[in-house]
Amino acid sequence: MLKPKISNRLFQYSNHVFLSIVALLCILPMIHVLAVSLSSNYATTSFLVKLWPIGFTLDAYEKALNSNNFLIAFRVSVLRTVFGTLLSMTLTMLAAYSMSKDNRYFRGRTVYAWFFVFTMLFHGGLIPTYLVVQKAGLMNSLWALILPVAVNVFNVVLMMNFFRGIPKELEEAAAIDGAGHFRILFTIFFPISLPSIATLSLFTMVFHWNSWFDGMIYMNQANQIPLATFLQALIAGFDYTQIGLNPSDLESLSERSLKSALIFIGTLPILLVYPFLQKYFVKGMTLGSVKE
Amino acid sequence: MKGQRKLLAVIISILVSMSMVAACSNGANNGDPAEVQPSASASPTSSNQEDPPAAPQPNDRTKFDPPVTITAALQLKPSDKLRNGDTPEDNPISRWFRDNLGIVTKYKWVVTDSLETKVRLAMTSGEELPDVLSVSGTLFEDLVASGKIQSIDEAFEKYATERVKDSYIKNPEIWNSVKRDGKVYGLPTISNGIVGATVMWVRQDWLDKLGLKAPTNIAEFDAVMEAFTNQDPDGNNKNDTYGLALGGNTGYYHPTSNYMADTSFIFGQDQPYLWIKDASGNLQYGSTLAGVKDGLGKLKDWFAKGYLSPDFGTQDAAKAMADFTSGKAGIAFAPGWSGGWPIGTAVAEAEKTNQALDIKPYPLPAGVNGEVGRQASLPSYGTYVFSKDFTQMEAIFKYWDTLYGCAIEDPKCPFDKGYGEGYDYVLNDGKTEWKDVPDGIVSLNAYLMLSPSSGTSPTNVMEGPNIYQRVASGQLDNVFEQKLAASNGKLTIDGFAVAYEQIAQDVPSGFYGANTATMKEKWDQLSTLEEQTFLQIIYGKQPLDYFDTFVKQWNDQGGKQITKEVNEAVASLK
Repeated sequence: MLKPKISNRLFQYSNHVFLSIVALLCILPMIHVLAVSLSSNYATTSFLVKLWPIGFTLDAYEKALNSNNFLIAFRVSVLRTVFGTLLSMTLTMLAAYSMSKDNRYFRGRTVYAWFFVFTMLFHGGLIPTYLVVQKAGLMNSLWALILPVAVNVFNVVLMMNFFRGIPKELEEAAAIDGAGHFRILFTIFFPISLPSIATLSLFTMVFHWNSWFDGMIYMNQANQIPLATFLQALIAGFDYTQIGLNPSDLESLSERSLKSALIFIGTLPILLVYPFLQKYFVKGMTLGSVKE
Repeated sequence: MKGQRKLLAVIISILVSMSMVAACSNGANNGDPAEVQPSASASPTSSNQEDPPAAPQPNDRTKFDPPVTITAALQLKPSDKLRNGDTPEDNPISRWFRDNLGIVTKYKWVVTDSLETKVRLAMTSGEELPDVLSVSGTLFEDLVASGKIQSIDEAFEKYATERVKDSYIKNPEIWNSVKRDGKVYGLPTISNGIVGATVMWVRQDWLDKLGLKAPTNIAEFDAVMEAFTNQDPDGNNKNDTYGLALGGNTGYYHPTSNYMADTSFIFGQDQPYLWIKDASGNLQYGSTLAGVKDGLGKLKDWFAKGYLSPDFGTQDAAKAMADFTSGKAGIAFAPGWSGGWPIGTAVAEAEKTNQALDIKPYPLPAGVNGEVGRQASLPSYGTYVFSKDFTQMEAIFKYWDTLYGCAIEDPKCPFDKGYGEGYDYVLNDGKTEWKDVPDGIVSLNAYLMLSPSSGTSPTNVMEGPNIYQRVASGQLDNVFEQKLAASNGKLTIDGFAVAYEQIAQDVPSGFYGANTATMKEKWDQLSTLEEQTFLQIIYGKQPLDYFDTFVKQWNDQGGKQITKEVNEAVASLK
């Protein structure tokens, strides 16, 4: 192996330093939140805690895990993420498979393509969308969080490009052996496209886990509010100009440890998914983009 | 959807029939109340007084049979914890009203954020509103304009008890915020007048160490600030302390007025940000008054001398208070409740770790022009509005009267000990215990469908010293006093008691009405100008005389027009 040049090594070092700083910028806030969640209430409300807990206590976690509202919200989020992702991926694959066929094979493909692309350029806006959801009778149901976002056209396009990169011969061979479209899709295309499916699943999961606005406007009952909405309310706090002598208001002002604990527990599940999907991640994106 | 509509129809018909039964049992009128109401408005109100059985009595416990169901909206807070399998619709409060008055609370909406988005979406999409909503500000205006809420004049006249009417008679200005075109569109809560009133919290140990007394005027205040900044009050031989904690980052353009770490005392009676009556009785915008210039001059001087934190403009209230409770600053102005959090918690922690932290509340010193004054608490912290299709106003006023009784320490109050056993009190062998509640005290306030006051008695209603003053002086005669004493820290009680001493000098705003036309257009811009001017003057980036330029700019950019409109609006209410 050749000895690297000075300039090369210098580049390597500065690269490492730069990337370490970026990594630190990402991870320090997490550590801070963790430290705050493990500190005593006094230390946190006096803004003394930086990166190491002061007055170590697990009180906040005990409170968080005993809080019914939190656990219910957590459950709703898990449900919407699991079912939302399953439905989303199924629809995306079905759409992408048909769209990956060319016009000779699939008559009217262009019409469908425009139908999809149109929604990328123009969408209903808040109130019309709300009206559609409401008139469809989806209010207060988990479907309100899943159906309106079930098909992401961007994902369909990514997936379609990936399918197009699969050699035609594979499909033809399967067809000669008597496989129909569903069999081709699920036994040939599916295993080959695992990297891109994993990547898009991750996008969808993160999307579902993080979206809070739909939960706020479509859900009217305490047991249907997803975690992101719950956390948003927690962080957004309340209007200080309207502060009243309500002990529970004051309590929520002073409970920075509890808030941090809730945030930490709230981000943990989605963080845990990353390592398992990471091996597909790099491969998936590049494979999907250019290949013919 | 069809099923839901059917259900709704059934519910409405039940409600209507119930109201008929209720009306008949009172013997006040016969027939459908919906038809009676217009005629009641046409006839003079004295007809009610001629008919003794119709006058609603306080603590009337006649039960609605069958029960009346009222829908409301609940704001879900992460800290809300119910015990023993209770739910928002089935807890000690809702059970009492169901079992004793036949009033059932149902939550049509549970919201996590402010109600605003939800209500606005419902307004545009034609969705039905809950029967009762608590709103304020522009949302109230828009609801009135949308016609989705009812005016309550007749219902108030007919169903409100004498004592409830009396509370509004004694606080007449309160109707102004809900009166539109001569009609009242909501039931405002009445504050106890000191929720937001600031007192001066001082490091007593620092005063003692330096042989100083709590300041009562601006010259003495200057001296204390100098000593706290330069004479090493914490005795660590480092120049690391400063005088006054000031949270200049408020998020609503008022750098000298915050919910904690505020400095409104310095302006005396010339309070900025409020509409203030001048000698001729016209309203002037406070920030343009000469007294404000003097106050800003003083703050500028203090900043230059290092009495304020160099970061005060970016510190929010909590951060500035943290400077005070952690021993960086020696004085902070904050309301009485801050004696619990953050001051109380810090003092308790300091005791645990044997650190010196002795804090005491004092009355405000006189401001820069020799007058004592501070921004008055808001007269009302929210208004209940009622859907136009809602017909059960009688139940509303019964609920209201019951809780109003609790606020004015009526012995018949069903919640005299607290809202729920096992939540905010426990019974040990018949003795009430407020401190040692297993698993900690939990407030049930959030589950009150209506809450007429902020815990203690509304302004101008009860004679004699206020409950905080009574408890602070050691009086523990009734259960309300005992509860207050047991469930609040000493600093909180002292803080509120001190706040009451100066309530006569509070400066109220002369205008709580809807935003005027020019206000809607220009107010944000004017407020930004105002905030920047104040901060630049205090930070020394502009000379004090820049204030005069600001006043001119403010007037030219729409302020003059707004002042005119505000005066017209107030005149039209009379």
